[in-house]
Amino acid sequence: MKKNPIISAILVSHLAIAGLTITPSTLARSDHQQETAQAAEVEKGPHNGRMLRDGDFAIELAIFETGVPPEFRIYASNNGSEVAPQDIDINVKLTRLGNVVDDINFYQENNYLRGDMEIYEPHSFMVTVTASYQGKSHQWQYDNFEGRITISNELATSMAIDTNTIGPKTLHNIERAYGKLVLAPNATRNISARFAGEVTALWVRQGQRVRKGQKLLTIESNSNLSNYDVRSPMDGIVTAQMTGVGEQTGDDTLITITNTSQLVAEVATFGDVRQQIEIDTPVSIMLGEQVVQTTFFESLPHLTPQQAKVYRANIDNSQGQFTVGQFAKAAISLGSFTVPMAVEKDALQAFRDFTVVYTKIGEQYEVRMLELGRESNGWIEVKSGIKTGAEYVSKNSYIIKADIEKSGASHDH
Amino acid sequence: MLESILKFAINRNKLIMILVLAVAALGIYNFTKLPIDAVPDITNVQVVINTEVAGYTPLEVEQRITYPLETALAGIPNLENTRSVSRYGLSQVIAIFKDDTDIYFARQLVNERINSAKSELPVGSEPELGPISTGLGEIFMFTVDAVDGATNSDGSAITATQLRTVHDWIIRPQLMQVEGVVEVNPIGGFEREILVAINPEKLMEYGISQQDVISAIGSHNQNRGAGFIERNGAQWLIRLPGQVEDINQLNEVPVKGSGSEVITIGDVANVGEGKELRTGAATQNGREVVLSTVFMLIGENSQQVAYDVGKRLAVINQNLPAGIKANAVYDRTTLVNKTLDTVKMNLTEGAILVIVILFLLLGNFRAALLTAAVIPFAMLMTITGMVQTKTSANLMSLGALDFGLLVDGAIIIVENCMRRLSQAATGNVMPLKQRLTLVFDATREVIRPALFGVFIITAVYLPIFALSGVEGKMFHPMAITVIIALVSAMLLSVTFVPAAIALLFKKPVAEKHNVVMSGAEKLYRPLLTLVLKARWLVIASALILVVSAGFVSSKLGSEFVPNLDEGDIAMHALRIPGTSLTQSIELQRELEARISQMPEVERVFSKIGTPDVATDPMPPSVADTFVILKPREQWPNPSKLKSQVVDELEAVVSPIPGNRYEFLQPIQMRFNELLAGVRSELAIKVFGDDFDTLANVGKSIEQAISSVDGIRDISLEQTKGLPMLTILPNEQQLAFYGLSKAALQEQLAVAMGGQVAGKYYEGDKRFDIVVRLPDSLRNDVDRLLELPITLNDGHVIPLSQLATTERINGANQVNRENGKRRVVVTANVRGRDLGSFVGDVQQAINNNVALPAGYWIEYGGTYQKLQSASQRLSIVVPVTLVLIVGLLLLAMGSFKDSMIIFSGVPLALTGGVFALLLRDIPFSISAAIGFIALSGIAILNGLVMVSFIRDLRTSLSLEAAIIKGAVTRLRPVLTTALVASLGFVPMALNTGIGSEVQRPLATVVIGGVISSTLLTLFVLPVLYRLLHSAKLTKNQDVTREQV
Repeated sequence: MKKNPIISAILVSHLAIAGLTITPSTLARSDHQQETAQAAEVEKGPHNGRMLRDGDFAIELAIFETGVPPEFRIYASNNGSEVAPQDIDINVKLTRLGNVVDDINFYQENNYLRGDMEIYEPHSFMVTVTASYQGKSHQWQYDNFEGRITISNELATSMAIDTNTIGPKTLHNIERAYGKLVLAPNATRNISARFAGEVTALWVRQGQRVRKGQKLLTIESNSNLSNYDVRSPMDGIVTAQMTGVGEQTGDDTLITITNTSQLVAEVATFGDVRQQIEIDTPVSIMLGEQVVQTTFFESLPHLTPQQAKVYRANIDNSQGQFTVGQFAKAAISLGSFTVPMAVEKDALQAFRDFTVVYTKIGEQYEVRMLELGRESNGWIEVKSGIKTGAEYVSKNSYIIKADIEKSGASHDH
Repeated sequence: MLESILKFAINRNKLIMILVLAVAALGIYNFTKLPIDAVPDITNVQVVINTEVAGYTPLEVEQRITYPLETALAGIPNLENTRSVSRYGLSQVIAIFKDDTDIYFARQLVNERINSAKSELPVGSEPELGPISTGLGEIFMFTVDAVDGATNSDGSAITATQLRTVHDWIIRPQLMQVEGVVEVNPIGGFEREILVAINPEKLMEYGISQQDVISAIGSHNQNRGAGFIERNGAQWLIRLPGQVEDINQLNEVPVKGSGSEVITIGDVANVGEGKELRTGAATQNGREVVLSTVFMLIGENSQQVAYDVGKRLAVINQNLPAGIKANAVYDRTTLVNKTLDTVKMNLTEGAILVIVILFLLLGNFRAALLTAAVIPFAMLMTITGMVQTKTSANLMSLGALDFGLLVDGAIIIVENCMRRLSQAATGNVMPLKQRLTLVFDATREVIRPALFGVFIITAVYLPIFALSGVEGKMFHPMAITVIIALVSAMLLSVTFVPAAIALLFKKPVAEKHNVVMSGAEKLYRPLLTLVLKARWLVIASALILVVSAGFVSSKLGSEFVPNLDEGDIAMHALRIPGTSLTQSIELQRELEARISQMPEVERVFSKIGTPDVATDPMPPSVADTFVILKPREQWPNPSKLKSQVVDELEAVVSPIPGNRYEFLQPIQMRFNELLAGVRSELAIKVFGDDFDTLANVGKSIEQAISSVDGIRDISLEQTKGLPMLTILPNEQQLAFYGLSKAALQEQLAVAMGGQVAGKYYEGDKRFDIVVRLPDSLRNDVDRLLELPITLNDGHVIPLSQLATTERINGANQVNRENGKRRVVVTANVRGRDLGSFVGDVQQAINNNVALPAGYWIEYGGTYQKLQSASQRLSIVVPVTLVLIVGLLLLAMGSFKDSMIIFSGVPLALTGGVFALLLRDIPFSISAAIGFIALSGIAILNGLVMVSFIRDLRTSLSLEAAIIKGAVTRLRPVLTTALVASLGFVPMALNTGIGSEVQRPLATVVIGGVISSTLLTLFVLPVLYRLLHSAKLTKNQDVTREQV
C-alpha cells in the first residue's frame, strides 16, 4: 500500500496538467470550426479531364484543344482497367444559357471516343452524360458554369445596368486632321501697265472690293500721251497697291487683285490615312464655329517635312467669312459601311484573353467572346461570337465583370 | 516576520487605518490618470514611412523609393523586421521594432536613416513618418457634409471641393490643437485646385506650346518686395504686387505676342475650378462627403481625447459656412462608456451580492462590511499599481478581477477571529490586551494557509506572462492587474483586516449562529459521516466525473478570445483590382442605400481608397464600410443578437453584384491593418527577385499543396491586375522628327497628368494652379493618339506618328518583407492538427516545387503563433504546477497532504467544463483564466481545511479530527464559495457591450466553484481519510512519506 499514495498523487497531478493544457491544444484548433467545409474538389483524371464514376465504371470526360478547336474526348474504364471505346454508347448534352442544347455524339478514335462537335466559347453549360456499357446505363449531370451571374432586374435597374440589342449598324469611318486655308489657284492678278506711262488717276484703294471690268487706273501713255484705263480682270479685292497718281509705271506690278470667293483648305494627313484618301473623298471642314461640307479635289505631290500628305478641298467664301491662313479642322469621311452586328464600345470588357460583352437572358448574364472588326464613333463591328437580336449589357458592364471575377470563375479544361 | 507585522498591525491599528486611507486616496488620484479603453492595445512598435510620388507604377515605386529606404533601415538597433507595400504613386515601408523599444527613439533612428537615404530618392519625393499612434488611435471620425437642400449664395449646389476646403482650412487646424490629437486625416472630396484646361487645338492654331502657358502663369503670379525707403521720418515698404487676386485674372495673362496682337491664357485655355486626381473618396448614406479620422497620440486616454474632440467639433460647427455641417459619425467614447458601464455594473452588483452573502453567513454586519471593505481598498491599490505599470483599464484587464478571490483571505481571517472572539466572550467587555492577543492568535492560526493560498493563486497567473506577441499584449494587462489586485488584497488581509478587527470588535461578539449556517451544519455532519463510510464510491464517482469532463472538454468549441462586440460593424467591400474610384463610389452608393434601409442601422459611411495621410493604403477598389447601429432599445427587436444582424446585413449586400465582403468591427479592422500579418493559419512566403518567377513559383506551390489532406481556402496573393495604358514611343519616328523622348514624355505628362504652374492664394488658403487637358479630352482614350505634339521647330504632328498605345495588366502592388520581394500562398486547415499538416505541406512543396536559384520559401501564419504559444505553455504550465506543489509542500511539509489538496484542481475544473457546456460557450483564453482562478480557489479551501484537520489530529482520532475539522471549516468554505460564485453571477448574465469577454470567465468560475466546494466538503475529507488510514492500519509511528 505504500506506493498507492504516490500513484494516486501522480494520477491527480496528471489530471491537473491535462486540465490546464487544454488551453494550448484547443487553441491550436482556432476558431474555424463554424465555417462549413468546402465542397470536395473535383476529381481529375490522367488526361486532365473530369472523372465521372458510377460503381466500378468510370469515364474521363476531357476537353482536348491542342491544335484543334476544343472538343470532348472520353476515356472509359471499368474497375480500373481500360474499356474498348467501341463497347460504349455515349452521349453528351450541353445545356447552355437560354436552353440552347448542344447534342454531342461520339465516335471511336484510337483509344478514346471523340465528340463530333466543337465546344465553342464560353464553356458554360450544364453537362448531361448518358452512357451505356454492358447493358447497364449510367447517367451523370453537373454544372460547369463560367462567366455567368444572376442579377435581379430591380437591382440592375437601380445600378443603371442598361442593355441594347445586337443588330445591324451603319458605321462611318471618320478621320480627324488639321490644316489651314490658302488661296485658290489663280486667285491673284498682278496688274501692270500695258504701255509705260504716268498714272493720272487711281480709281480704287487697297482693300477695296472690285468687280470684273471695273476701272482701276487711268494711265497716260508715254508713247502717245493719250489716256487709257486699266480695268479689273476679275472680281476681287485690291490686296496691294504699289503706285500712286503721278508715278511712272515702268514694268512693275501696280495693283494686285485677289479673289477670295473661293478658298482652298489644305489638310495635312499622317500615317495610314494618307493612303485611304482619294480625290472626291468627302470632308467636313470646321472653321471656327462654321462647318463646310466639301470634297478633296487634289493632293500636293510632295510630303511636307513632317511627312504629312496635304490634300486640298475647295471652300466657298462668297460671303467672305473666312480668311486665308485660318486654322481648319477636318473630319474626313473614309466611307460608311453597314455591318450586320455591332456593339457599343463601352460594352466591351476583357475576360481572360478575350474581349467580351455580357449577354442577358432573363435575369442571367453570361460572357460572349467576340471577334471584332472595324470600329467608328463609339461602335464596333462584331464578326462572330453572339447572335443578332441578342440582348447585351451596354452600360455599366464593368459591374458584371466585377461580379464574375470576384467569384473567381475558373475555366475548366 | 509575518507575526511581527501582524502584531504591529493589531497594536497600532489606528495608524494602519490612516495608512490604508492614504493609499486609497492615492488610488483615487491615480484613477484620474488611468488610461481607459475598451480593449488592450495589441499594436507592435512600428514606424510607418509613407512616400508619395505621382505617376510611378508599383514596380518603379519599389525600385526608386522602397528599395533605397529599406536598405537604409537595415541594421537599426532593435529593428525586428521591415515590410513594405509599393503601390501606384505610393511607397509604404513599415519598420517593426522590438516590443520594449521607445517609439520616439525608434522614430528618431528611422528619421536619421531616411535623411541619409534622401540623395538616392527621386527629386520631389518626400518620405514622411506616419502619425505617432496605435491601432486604438482612430478614436473619432466625422463627416463634412452639405445640409439637405442647402446651396451656395449664388444658388449652385455645394460641391465636394468646397466641403474639402472647409475641412482642410477651417476644421482641421482647430482639431489639431486638441490635446492628445496627433493627426486629422481626411479622405474624400477634392482638394481644391485651379485648373487651366488647355485646348490643344487652340494651342496649335496660335502656335503656342504647353510650356509657354506654364511659364506665362509662373511669371505673372509673383509678388515682390523691393526693400523700403525712409521718408519724412516714416519707413515705407516698397511692394511690387503681381499675384493673381482672382481666378478671372488668370484669363488675362498674356502668353504670346505684343502690341495689339496679344494672345492670353483665356484664348487658349479654360480657367476654372478643377478636381484633383484623387486617390480616395468617402461616402455617407449613399452621398459623397469628406470623412475625417482623428488619431490619438500613443498612450493618451482615448475617452478623454474623444470627448474633447467631440466638444471642440460642436464649437467649430457653429462657425462653419452656411449649409455645411460637420457630423460626428464614430466616437470611441460611446464604446468605452458602454464597456465601462458593463464592467461597473458587474462590479457593483457583484460587490453588493458579496456583502449580502457575507452578512448572511457571518451573521455579523460589521464583519461583513469589514470583509467587503477589502474590495474597494484593493481596487484602489490596484489602480495605483496599474498606473505605475502603464496598464490601461479595459475589458481584459478589469474583466478578470474576481472579488471572490480578493476577499478570500479576509474571509478566512475574519471568520476565524469571529469564531474565537465569540468563543471567548463571557458577557463582559474583554480587556484590551486580551482582545488583541486573541485577535493575533486567531489571525496567526489561519494566516499561513490563507497567504499560501493567495500566493498559489498568484502563481497560477504566471504562465500568462509566457505568452508573447499579440497574445501577450492582449493578456499581460489582465495578469498584471489580477496579480496586483491579489497582492493588494493579501497586504490588506495581514494589515488592514486584523487592525480593523481589533478596532471594531470592542464589544463582546455574540455570534448569532444564524439559521443558514446551523441548517447547513445539521445537513453536513451526517452527510460527511456517510461519505466517509462510502469512501471508495465517492472517489470512483469523482474520478468518473473528472474523466467525463475531460472527454466533454474535447467536444467544446474553441476560439482564441471571445470577440468584443464593439456595437458597430466594419465591412470591407472588395472589388476586383483595377476598379476605378468612380466605379467604386457608384457601387458603394447602391450598397449604402440598401444598408441604410435596415431597421437597426443608424448610418453607414465608407472610406474608399487611400486617405490623405496614407495610414491605410487601400487601392480604390476597396472600401471600408462602417455600419453604425442604433442603440438596442430602438431596434424593432431589441433582443436580436448582433451576429444575427450581421447575417441579415450579409443577406442584404450579397445580391449586389461586383462586391465581395468581409465583416469585422472598427477596432478589429484597424488592428488587422496595422499588424497586417497574414490572417490565415498557414502562409507560405516565396522570396525572390523576378516578379513573374515569383508568381510562377506561387502557382506551382498552389498546385503542389492542393492535394494535401485537410487543406482549405488556398489562395495565391494577387499581384497583377492593375490596368495600364502604356504609350510606347517609336524611336525611329522620334529620331526622324528630332524630338527627344523626354520632350515627348513631358508634353504627355502635362497633358494627361498636369503640371503645377504656381499657387493661388486666398487669404491663408493656398491652392495649386494646374495646367492640364480638360477632363473630357483626358478621358477619351480613343482619341488619345490624335493628341497634337509640338516639335522643336514649332510644327505639330499627331501623337500617332510618334507612339503606339498598349493596354496591359501590370503589377498591382509589390510586397516586400525584410528587403526582398515576396508573394504569399495562404491556406487554412480543417479537421487535423496543424503540426502534421504543416509537415505534409512542406513535404509536398519539397517534392514538387523546383525553386530557381536565389529563391527561397518561409513558412508563417497564425499556426506559428499558436504553435509557439502552445510550446511555451506546455513548458510553463507544468513548471507552474510543480511550483504550486512545491509551495504546498512548503506549507504542509507533507507530500501526501499536498497531493490531497492538489486533487481539488481537476474536480474544480470539472464543474467549469460542465458549466461551459451547459451554456454552450466555446473554450477560450477567457475561460482558461477562469479555470486558473478556480484552481486557486480550490487549493485555497483545501489548504485551509487540511491544515485544520491536521492540527486537530494531535488531539483526536483520525475520523473525529476529519469530521470536526471539516465542520469547523464549513462556514469559511461555504462563504468563499458563495462569494466567488454569486459575485460573478451579474457578469455571467449581463448582455451589455463587452460582456461577451467576461461571460466565459464568470461561467467557468460559477460552475467550478460549485464542484470545488463539493470537493472540499466531501471528496477532500474522504481522500484524507483514505491516504492516512494506511498509516493507521500499519500502525507506523514514523512520520509521513516525504519526497
